[in-house]
Amino acid sequence: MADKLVADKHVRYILMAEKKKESFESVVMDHLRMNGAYWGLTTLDLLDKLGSVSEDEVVSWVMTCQHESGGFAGNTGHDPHVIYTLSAVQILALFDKLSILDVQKVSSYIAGLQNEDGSFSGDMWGEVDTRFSYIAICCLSILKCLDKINVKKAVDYIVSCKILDGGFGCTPGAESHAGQIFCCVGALAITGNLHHVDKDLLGWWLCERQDYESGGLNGRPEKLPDVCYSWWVLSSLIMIDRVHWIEKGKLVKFILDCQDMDNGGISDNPKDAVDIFHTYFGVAGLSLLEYPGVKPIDPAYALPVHVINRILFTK
Amino acid sequence: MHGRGRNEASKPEETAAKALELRSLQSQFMSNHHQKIYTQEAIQLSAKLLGINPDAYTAWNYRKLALVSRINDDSDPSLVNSIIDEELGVVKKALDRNPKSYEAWYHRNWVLSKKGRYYTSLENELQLLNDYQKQQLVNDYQKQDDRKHDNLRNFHAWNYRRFVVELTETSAEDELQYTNMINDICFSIYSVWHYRSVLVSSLVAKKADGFMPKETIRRELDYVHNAIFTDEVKQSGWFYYLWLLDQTVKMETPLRFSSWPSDGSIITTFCSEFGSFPLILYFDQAVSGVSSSTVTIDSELNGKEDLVWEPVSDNKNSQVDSCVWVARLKFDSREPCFSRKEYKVKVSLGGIFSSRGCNLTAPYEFVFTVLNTVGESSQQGIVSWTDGFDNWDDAQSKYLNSLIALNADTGFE
Repeated sequence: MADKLVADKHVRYILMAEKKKESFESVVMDHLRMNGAYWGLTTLDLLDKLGSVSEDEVVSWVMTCQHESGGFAGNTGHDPHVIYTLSAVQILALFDKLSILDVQKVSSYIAGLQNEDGSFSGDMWGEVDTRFSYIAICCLSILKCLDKINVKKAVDYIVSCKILDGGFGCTPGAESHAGQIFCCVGALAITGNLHHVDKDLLGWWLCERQDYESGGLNGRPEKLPDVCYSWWVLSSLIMIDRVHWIEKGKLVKFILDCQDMDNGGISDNPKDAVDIFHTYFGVAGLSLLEYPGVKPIDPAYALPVHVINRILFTK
Repeated sequence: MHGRGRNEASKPEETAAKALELRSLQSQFMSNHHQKIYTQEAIQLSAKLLGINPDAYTAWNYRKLALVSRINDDSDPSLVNSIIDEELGVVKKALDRNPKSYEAWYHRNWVLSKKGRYYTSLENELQLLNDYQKQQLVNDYQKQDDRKHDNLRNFHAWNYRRFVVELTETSAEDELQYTNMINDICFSIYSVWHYRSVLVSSLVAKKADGFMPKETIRRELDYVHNAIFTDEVKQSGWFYYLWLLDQTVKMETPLRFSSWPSDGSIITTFCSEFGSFPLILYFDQAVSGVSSSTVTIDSELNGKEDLVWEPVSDNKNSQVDSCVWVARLKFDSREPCFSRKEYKVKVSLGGIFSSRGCNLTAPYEFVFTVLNTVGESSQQGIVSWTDGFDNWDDAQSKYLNSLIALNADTGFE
């Protein structure tokens, strides 16, 4: 049982993982290195250790992932997709290097993926999912180009994915899932449309994710608690002002118990192997829970608050 | 990491060898992809890569490009079928490896969306999905371990199911039977209850046989009581129960509305010749069907012309649902009937329904008075109302009028 955050060990874990490019785990996740970089670097910034990495090396690698269409790929040579485009923009935002982007090019790539009904495809192959609506809105908001898309139609599409239990699915008719809920609530928050959310109904569905014994949160009824839901559920609750409906102390304890106290890193539950994904979500969750020593994170943009302030409050 | 124990040790030599093999596959694949090589050998290499790494999204993109390069609308049907079989086979292997791969599920969806109408085995697709979902379904649900790949809880499979049901035009009644079958074995699968709520809503909305709202809700309440009594700890049934109760509240709530001008109010017109003012209806739910047949005006003012009702929304189509509807009530002081100073206008509503099926519980009417003050003021086209504003002075009236000046040209803003 852990009683504190071993921040230094997590920093070391992230820096080591970044160097182990040829391990099997790393090769298998080669195509999503952009996401991995965003998770690792944001965690470092939240723990005030972003200076431990070479900014020039990261930024120049990010730019090698840009495709001629303007979108970014998961790694050099791969195809572009909005998922990696958002991560690339978020990484540049962390280093205050958004100015090196051809904003027109990136924003046109994203805007070009909006469909007639307001939804967004992930790439040229047409998969539609509200995850992509969030990604487009978040990314264009950071680049201050929201006017390039039809925001009203985008919002209408998200609202059409609202379900009878107050949650949101990936497409109309799909079931609620905490990840989709985060995406839809985040998109509605960024565009100033939270009045479409039935906050009491959704707040209740979300707070019911907390497991009484372990204090952890799951993503849907009857599933096991998982640290990544400390982000998806918690940020959603904060955005709809219902976070007081869960027991914060118990959730903090669950996240701390998922740490590997010897080697660093955080896992989905206390018994499983650690990885960068859950390390980020664990630390981000602790940030939302105002754990001492962790910088505050914005629940909608999923970037440290000081980074968002820098973007939104300067021209 | 999901499904991998913290202290599971793997032999370093084995993982190093696996990493090298994968690295080599990836580089060969990338070379084929960038050079647009779609030979049989290259395509098989991509299948091998996806068998090891189902989330390698670029490889799925490559396979789509390869498919498009090999078949078109004029291709031989047997070639099309064999290529579709091949793609679905690659997806199946990928899903065996990672049942939650977004990319693998979408590839299957994409192949059948593009070429499904040529596929002779399309009817099998639903059966294959049934078999897939029912794997690992145990009779004693308390023994289910949620850490296993429980295909019935896999939301990708349910999303794919909705796609296949639409493609094969399977009926909602048949799908409801499917949810009955699963619930008979295990009541605690949230996805099943969610799907049931979608099916029931659609059958009630379509007014299908045996699915009138009240009888359906009574039947479903008995059904869900069974689930809750069987295991009151599992949440899924309770969420469905809450949703059902919410439907009963919605059904019995009458539609409410308000209007401008309101019942008993007085409208003063300062108009030298002719003009109009808006008649506004506001409902507490979005409604359709507001027209001159559902809203009748009894007054000497409107003459023989039917009022044209428009919803206040971006879409001016009268079939659209809206909470707010507007029509213009015109008057012409040159008409002989306009010689009197005061006119009563009676508005009656009936037969208006909301999208949730609520309606006005009885025909409703309201009456307001129009005071004509032709020639008494030089201000043209201004309408003010005296209802509740008896003590307004000139300055206040002028300020209000400057905000909401209505005239025959600009109409209601």
